[in-house]
Amino acid sequence: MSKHLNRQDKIRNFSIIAHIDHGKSTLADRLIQTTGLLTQREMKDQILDTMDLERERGITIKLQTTRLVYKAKDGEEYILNLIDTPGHVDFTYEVSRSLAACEGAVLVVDASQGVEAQTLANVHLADMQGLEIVPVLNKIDLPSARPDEIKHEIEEVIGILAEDAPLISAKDGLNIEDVLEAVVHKVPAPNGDEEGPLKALIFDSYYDSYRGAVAIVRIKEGQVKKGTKIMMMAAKKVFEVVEVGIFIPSAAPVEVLKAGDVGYITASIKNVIDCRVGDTITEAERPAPEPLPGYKKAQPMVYCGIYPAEGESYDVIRDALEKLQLNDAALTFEPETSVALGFGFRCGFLGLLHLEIIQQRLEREFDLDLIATSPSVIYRITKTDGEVVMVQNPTNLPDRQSILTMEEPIVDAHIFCPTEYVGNIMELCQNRRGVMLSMDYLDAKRVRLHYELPLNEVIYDFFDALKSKTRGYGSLDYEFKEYRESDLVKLDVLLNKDLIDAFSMIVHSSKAVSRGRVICEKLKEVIPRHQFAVPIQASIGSNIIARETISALRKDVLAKCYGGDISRKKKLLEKQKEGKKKMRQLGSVEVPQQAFLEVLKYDDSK
Amino acid sequence: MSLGLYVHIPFCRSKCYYCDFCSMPDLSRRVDYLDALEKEVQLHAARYGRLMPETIFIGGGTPTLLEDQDWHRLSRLFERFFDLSSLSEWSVEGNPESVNLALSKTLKSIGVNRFSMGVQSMDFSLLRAIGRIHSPEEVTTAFNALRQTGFDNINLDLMTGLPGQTLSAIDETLSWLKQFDPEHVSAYGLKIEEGTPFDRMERQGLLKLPEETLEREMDHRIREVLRERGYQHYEISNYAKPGRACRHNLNYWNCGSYAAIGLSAHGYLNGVRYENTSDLNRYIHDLSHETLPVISEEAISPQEDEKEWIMLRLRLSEGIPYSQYQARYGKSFLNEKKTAIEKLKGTGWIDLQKEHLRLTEAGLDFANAVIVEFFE
Repeated sequence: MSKHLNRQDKIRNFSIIAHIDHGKSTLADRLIQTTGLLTQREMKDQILDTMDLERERGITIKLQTTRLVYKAKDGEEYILNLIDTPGHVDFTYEVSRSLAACEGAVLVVDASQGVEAQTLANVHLADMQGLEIVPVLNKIDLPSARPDEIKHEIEEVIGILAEDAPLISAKDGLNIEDVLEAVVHKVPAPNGDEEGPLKALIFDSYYDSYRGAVAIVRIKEGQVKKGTKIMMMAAKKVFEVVEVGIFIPSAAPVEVLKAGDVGYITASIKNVIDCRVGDTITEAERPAPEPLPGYKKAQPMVYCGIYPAEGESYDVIRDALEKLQLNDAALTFEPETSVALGFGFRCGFLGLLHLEIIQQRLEREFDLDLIATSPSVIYRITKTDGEVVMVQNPTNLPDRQSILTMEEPIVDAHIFCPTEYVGNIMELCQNRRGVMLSMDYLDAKRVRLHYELPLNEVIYDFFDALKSKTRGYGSLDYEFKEYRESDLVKLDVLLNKDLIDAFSMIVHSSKAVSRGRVICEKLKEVIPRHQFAVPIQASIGSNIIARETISALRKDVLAKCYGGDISRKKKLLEKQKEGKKKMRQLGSVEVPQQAFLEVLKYDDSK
Repeated sequence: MSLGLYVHIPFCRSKCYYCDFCSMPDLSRRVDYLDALEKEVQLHAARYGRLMPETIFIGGGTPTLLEDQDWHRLSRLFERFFDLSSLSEWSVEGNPESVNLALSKTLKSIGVNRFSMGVQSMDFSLLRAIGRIHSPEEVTTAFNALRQTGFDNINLDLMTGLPGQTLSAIDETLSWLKQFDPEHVSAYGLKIEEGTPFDRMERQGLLKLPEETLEREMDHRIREVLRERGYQHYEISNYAKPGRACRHNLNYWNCGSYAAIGLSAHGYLNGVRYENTSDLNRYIHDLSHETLPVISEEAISPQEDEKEWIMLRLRLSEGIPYSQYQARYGKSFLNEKKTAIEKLKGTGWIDLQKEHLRLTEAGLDFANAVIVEFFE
């Protein structure tokens, strides 16, 4: 036993948590570099964020994990497993699972900006997993850095000791070793029973076309090696292990993974659905009496239609969605048809960011041109004949006469923000039909608001509104609470008198008129003028509730075109042609793809 | 194939608010410029040989700011390095305030046979509103001087859609035009070009332009009146008495070749379009180092040529004669453009005839929309 403990004594499993932009990924890169895993030349900026999209948006979507070997000042060699976490509320569950794989978390705080909303939300998550939090002050090289004040702030606001927090500059590689030392000395070593029944937490998975679904795991108890018959406790599926290994940072096979280790397991698992984040892997022949706590099945909360843009193929989109789904068990899709847009797919997502990310990955990684329709939540409709139907596409809403009641999903939302923005937040939530349950002052400067919000109010632009109303300091966390009866109507949009089903949405009746008005205004801005006047109308049933008109185009001609103009004017017309190609013919009206995005934007000033 | 020669004179007394042509108010560089231009003509001839232009167009800027000896110098220069035996049209562009009898005589004496004058409007306050420095009276004086010298091929430029312009201002200008009775009229709708004073004013919300409907009415009024007076509306913005269409410009619209001399000038020779620098210092510097001041050259592929030809031909009242398309590209226009034609049929913008396709009266206002349909 003591021998085992000795082995685990040299292991530290930790994550890095931070407010966005406080330097999480840069620090991760430095840790990798300092422990000599990669040479300077091999370093790409921010190794752990593998997708271009992530690097661009500065957020981590898919987790990466890597094993560092560090020779500490005490002369001992330690194995440090760095587990990266995604950085968005849509992925709170994924964050909580990866934190559950750790014993500690390095909390990166910007030495000039101090503790911010997301810092608190992350600390809260880490706290719930009982992690040891190791504060680090980053960007110490900036002239505006004020380490002493920020240390004090960390102690005051978060309530952890920060006196000897390392002062670093991840960008310049300053004092990185202090962070490694702090991890070694402060993060507890794992102490799982290596001989007990296997308990491995899947905190991430990905699909490899040769090896099938790969589970990324933290072994909590027991051990696993090639040939072990394993069972997924929630999925209730049995597989035989083909390979186990570690990330250095690329996958490298090892003979065995034991309690305390972080690594991967492959077992010819054909489907990522059988390898869900949060599930516990145990031995089929000697199963653990109960799984590790906290498993939840990923449940789509938001749906939207995804259609090929002009000239794009339906089949290519299906192939792309299938490929993405291999890696993303939370993504669902099925074929659907729209009068306006033809054949497409109804896709389900964890939240709006997840939706945006999938959309952008389809566009970038697969080079597809798409149209996404208004996102929708799932409504529960009870018909007069007693039948209950779940509707996530407004077009499928039964007609009004046959509806007895409509219910919409309500979420429990926690918003963190500095006290000066409380008024703004309350106004925003009130506009979004929120009901305040409580308000807690975490200290003199920070507040946590607890609201009930209808999910269909959250999916329209709520994050952007929250950010703009709190100058970026507000953060949001929500989870599904219940279905609740609500006075909902279907809002339709007509272009030149034709109902465009792709714009239809379900809204609360109190919001219908203002929403209709905003949509008509936005469409008026983005739809170019035609040779005829184009009326834009919003309606509920046959009742027109808002209207705008795009005046007819009178002129589309270049005044002059002589020798010196020809090249330039030709390019101008080519551009016009390109723009036209991107238009979508809806009824008699040509609509730019941008229009589909514009109708999603909620204008909270109206 | 016909060949034109364009020569750019980049000086103006002051810059009009809408103008994005290459011009500058600093006349002190005139002689340096002409020295450089002379060098350019020499180098151009060394590269392309002794070209034989059928038309010359001296544009600007305000070429009429050149002095007597400058014109003689240009004339000698052209005679030395070009074969002028086929020259049938030599136009000079200018502004009313710098046209007088003496200049007119000089131009006539060196062989200039067409004059193009920037009138824009005969309304004094409108002229000021767009930054023009001449008065309506100066237009009359200049025009009379040209006629007196024997110029029988004169173009007057007009503009529509100017800030504060009304239909009655157009009518007034048109009635002045009746008295002048020029052989050619160009009427351009104002376009706000990037970087001009009007561009800045528009961004600041200081520019009150006529509504599009009114601007079109102005254009249509000019169209109607000039046709009544016997002008042929031979290009979107151009009107001419029979036989007086501008040959130099027709050559552009037929995708002909043209040599270019001077600051910012564009040429098209041997299937390559080239562009001179717009930077006067660089222009002078390059030429003093025996280098042509070309900043870009683009070989025009058959596909690009076809786009340009369609774009330019559709501006002409003749439109696209199928036989010419066939001769030029070796394929049938009607077959090739079937889809586009089908799409355009319902618009009322194209006049589909047995021998040619052209814009209808309504289509003239939507030329771009028609052209882009024909782009692949």
